[in-house]
Amino acid sequence: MRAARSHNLALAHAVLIYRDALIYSVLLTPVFVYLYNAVAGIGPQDIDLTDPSGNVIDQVFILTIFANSVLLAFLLRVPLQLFLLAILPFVFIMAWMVASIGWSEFPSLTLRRASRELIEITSIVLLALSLQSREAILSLLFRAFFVINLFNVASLAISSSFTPIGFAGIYLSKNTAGLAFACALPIFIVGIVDRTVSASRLAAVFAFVTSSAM
Amino acid sequence: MILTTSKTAIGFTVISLLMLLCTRIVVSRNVYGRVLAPLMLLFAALVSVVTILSLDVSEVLTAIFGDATFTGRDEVWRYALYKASGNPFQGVGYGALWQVGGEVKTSLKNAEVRWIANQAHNGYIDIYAQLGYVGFVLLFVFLIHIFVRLLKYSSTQESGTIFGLASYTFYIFWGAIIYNITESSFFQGGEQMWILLIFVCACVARLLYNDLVVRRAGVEFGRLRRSWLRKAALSPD
Repeated sequence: MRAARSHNLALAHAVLIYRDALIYSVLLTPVFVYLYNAVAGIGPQDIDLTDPSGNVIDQVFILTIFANSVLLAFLLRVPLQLFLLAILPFVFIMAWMVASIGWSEFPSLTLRRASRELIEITSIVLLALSLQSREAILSLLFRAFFVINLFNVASLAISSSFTPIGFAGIYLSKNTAGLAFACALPIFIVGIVDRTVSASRLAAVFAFVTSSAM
Repeated sequence: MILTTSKTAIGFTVISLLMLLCTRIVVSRNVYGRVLAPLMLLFAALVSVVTILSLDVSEVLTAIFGDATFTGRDEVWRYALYKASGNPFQGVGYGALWQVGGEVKTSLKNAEVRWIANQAHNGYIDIYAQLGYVGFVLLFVFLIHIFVRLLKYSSTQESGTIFGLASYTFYIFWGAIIYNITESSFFQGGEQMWILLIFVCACVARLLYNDLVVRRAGVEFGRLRRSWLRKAALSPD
């Protein structure tokens, strides 16, 4: 009886680790992209803004996250009613998006991009529904932003992170970097105020100061 | 954020914080929220309208942003609107405007756009150009739906909390609305702003559902308790 209970507890713990790993994989995408670009030697000048072909690595990543988020929802028994409730705001415009394949100037591109959007939204919604409390949500966001911020701090030492028009950090443009800091700042403030969100107040203060300055 | 010198990000932060403050005051159930805040918002809106009408629009934009063309974005906006004008009701089709091949270069050059863009740098124009009037209306339906959900969550579960998930989701919501004036993120795959908006809104849906389940369980428990008490009162012992 006791062995069965400890086995169940270990299983539940493993599912939660699996859930966190999946959510971090999505939230830390900018870091993965940065590391991939650094290894492959890709810079802003190498990106062709007219190229319609998709990125295979990106497609594999999205499909992997989708398959895993469906599995996670199954393991955590996310109610179908809840999923429908959460996805409802997206449904009408998504349906119109898919319908636009019919009159699109580039139907194959519309089909590919609408499918990608559908898969991405479903995956993120399923991952978000696996979280049960506001503390868990905020602390996950805090840790993800904290890691991204650390990479941005480290990128200060690299000259390529400075573009002629401003600091881009681990991103390809300064506006994307600015946006990342803007989204992270309130979470760092919550981390300073609320000890359930950040284990270390000092770390939260450090993250707030550096992201404001960068 | 200072080193990036990104006006979009600075505008995002300042305006979103102000809008967050206004929203929280308006939804709070006291005299400030019910009377003073709406009156102040109405006054601010009137002042803004009068200022814009009495001055030249480009003059106002230059005074606020230092550049009325938003760093040449007006050319891209014109191009996207021109493309949409061919089929204003339905648009050109989702994902069929940018990054569609080498011909977009010629098309942009013909429209006198001096740079190659992979988005309209305005989320609303992007949705209108790709999905037409119908898509544009559906975008607003989506935004209103999300806003109502956030209001419900904020007023039922975090009405007394300043630094919580409700404030953050409102901040991201208003941020997305502001951000999409100079950049595009609505229904753009892989955009971090968009991913974050979906994520926090779905999280709010989860917490609202949890609350609903608890309330339903409470109602069910109350019903069972009442029926048990009734039975106990009727029993001869």
